[in-house]
Amino acid sequence: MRSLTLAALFTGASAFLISSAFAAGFFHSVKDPATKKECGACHMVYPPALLPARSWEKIVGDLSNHFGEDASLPDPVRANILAYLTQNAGDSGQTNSWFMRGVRDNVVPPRITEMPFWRGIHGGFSPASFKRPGVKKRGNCLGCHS
Amino acid sequence: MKRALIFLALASLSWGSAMAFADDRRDAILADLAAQAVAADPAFTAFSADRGKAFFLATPSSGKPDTPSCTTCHTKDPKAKGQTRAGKEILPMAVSKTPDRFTDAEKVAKWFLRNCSSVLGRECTAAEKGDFITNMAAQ
Repeated sequence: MRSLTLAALFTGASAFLISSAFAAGFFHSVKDPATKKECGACHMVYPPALLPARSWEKIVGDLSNHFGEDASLPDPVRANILAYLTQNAGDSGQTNSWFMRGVRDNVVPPRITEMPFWRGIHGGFSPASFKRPGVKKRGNCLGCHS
Repeated sequence: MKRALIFLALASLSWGSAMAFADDRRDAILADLAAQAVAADPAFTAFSADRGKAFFLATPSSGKPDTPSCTTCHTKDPKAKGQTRAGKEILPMAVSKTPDRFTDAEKVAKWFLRNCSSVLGRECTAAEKGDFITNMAAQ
């Protein structure tokens, strides 16, 4: 039953997500200038609703070890970005909590691609499909969704 | 025709003065680094583009495993575009290709702090930073 639900979700969501209108709007929805500038210097600016606040706290709390690089920021900037991300996080009540489905309270998801919603939607793709030239990494949403 | 010529003259004038202004700001950053280099080592005389080039092309592998060298992201050609590990484009480091490189002191400090930590596992010295900028300004 669960796999049926996931399959339905997968088919419906991929047709929907890959359509550029939705993707363009959602994946470019961050408007906070500091978040856009600093996060966007190295990677796409992930909408904060994709992770719970506790994940953002963990990520922004350890920027000198940021997925294999030192991405440290001076403190006032770091604190402002963290405030924006947590206030708009998936469990903040500000946004649709669909992305939080299946996330246990005692778990701090370390990255978006380990969120249950992400694995549910993308589970059908082979590892190679994420290594294609225009994609390269799982976290490069716009490699497919644009 | 005459109007177009005047426009062209004005445009090149403002482009020229913008570049001169960028050079002034880069010179100020270099002067500040030179003062720090002297403070650290009284025998310091001048920055060297050659030392900067060797530093850029080296593979220290003393920092984080995913970033063994500057060229991991910037490529070996400073005039070429690089790419972050996350796949985002990095404009060329060479000043001839990206004229506003090394003109914003805050930005320069931020990226040396991060990238020296990522690649070398330590902060860069003022001499290393000055050599690096001097090399890129000559490219």
